[in-house]
Amino acid sequence: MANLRPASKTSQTIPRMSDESLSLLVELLFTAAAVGVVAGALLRRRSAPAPQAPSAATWSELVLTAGGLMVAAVGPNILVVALTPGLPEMPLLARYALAPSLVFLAVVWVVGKCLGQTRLTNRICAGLWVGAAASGVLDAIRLTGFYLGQMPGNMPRMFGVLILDRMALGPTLGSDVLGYLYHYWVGACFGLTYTLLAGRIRWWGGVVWGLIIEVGMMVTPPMVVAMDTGYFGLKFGPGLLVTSFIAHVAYGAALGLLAERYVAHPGGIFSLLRNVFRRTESRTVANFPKPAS
Amino acid sequence: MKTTMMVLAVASLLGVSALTGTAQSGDANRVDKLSNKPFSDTLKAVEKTVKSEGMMVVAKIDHKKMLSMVGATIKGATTIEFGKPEMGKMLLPMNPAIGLEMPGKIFVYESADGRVVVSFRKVAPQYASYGDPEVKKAGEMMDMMADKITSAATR
Repeated sequence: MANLRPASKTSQTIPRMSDESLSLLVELLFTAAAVGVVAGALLRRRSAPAPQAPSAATWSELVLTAGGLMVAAVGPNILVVALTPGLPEMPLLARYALAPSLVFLAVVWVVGKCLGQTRLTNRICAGLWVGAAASGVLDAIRLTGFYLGQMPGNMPRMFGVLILDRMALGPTLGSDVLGYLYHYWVGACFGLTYTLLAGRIRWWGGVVWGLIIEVGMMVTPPMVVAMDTGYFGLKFGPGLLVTSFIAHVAYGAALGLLAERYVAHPGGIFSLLRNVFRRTESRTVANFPKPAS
Repeated sequence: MKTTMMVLAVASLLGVSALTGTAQSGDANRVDKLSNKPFSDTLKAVEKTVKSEGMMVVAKIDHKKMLSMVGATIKGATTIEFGKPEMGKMLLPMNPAIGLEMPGKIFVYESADGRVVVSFRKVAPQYASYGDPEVKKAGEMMDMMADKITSAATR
């Protein structure tokens, strides 16, 4: 080492909770809280209650469902957009797409409530909390994989610095909390999409949904380009694919089990569409002037 | 920030070199000074001195925190980029290619044996390579400032 001057005093460490310990605390708290909600909810309803009879499908419900699905698409996809070269970045997307989408979802829920659309409001509420809670199950596996060196990065911590545009400065307690909130919101969005699309179905529908999310994650820019793991994480090593696969299957299973118990009405988006069009058709036929006999 | 992950990768490389705890031997322009203060105090002292010398901290890169997101644990390692707006205003219109050399950079890190080191690279030879006496003078001034800042911060 050139031009080194001798040290007259050695460096000291100040006894306080380190940033890393705080970060670990944040992730453990989020995970424990969410896993606790999953466990509590499953204990509360050990088996799925009888489904409620669906109310008549209306155009307004269909439109509001489409609005809810749009909101659910914003959360996860802003990350895909932000990490795709040439497209807007996370701070901008968080401010002008994510934040308005939250307001829009609240509007959808309020309008649904005012119109007495219990099927829709139940699906929105159940989808959000069930999806967010199931993310805790995913995190229990993801974090284990990360600390065993099987994941390329601690993604929620990265989300925080991306949203706050402070990558060079690294994460703080605040950015970690924000990153985890975003991470759980993404889980909630996937839950919302699931309940709005599928309604009440058997629990393994959630596992299928988890596998679809897994495939989506493994072939889109956040993993493939930004983390440079290649398609299905194969450039990084099999540990990533295995960890991520198990985590998403577990997420899907938790989501499916909870949705089966807390989504009240059967019938997915196609059933809603079919019923709306049938109703419109029968009304049109009924209103058509009958020929004089 | 489109290439934030790229930044992370670069920082990782820098962090790995910091992990080794040794400066590149044979780099005659590299200056390493051992600090008499702990890492965080040294870092604060560098920032304070940069400001007190009428310069600006343009950017701060915390390699330790950045690497923590990808599961690597290293000791303190932070790059401070600093500059004088007046100098940029004077040099860049003259020859925009000089932008590659700016701003100045000071690296503060804890070596493997716990010593706190403040490093910078003398930029005068790079500045001189542009063949302009004014630019060369600016490079020498930058070196003088970096030396002053690092001396004050390590004292």
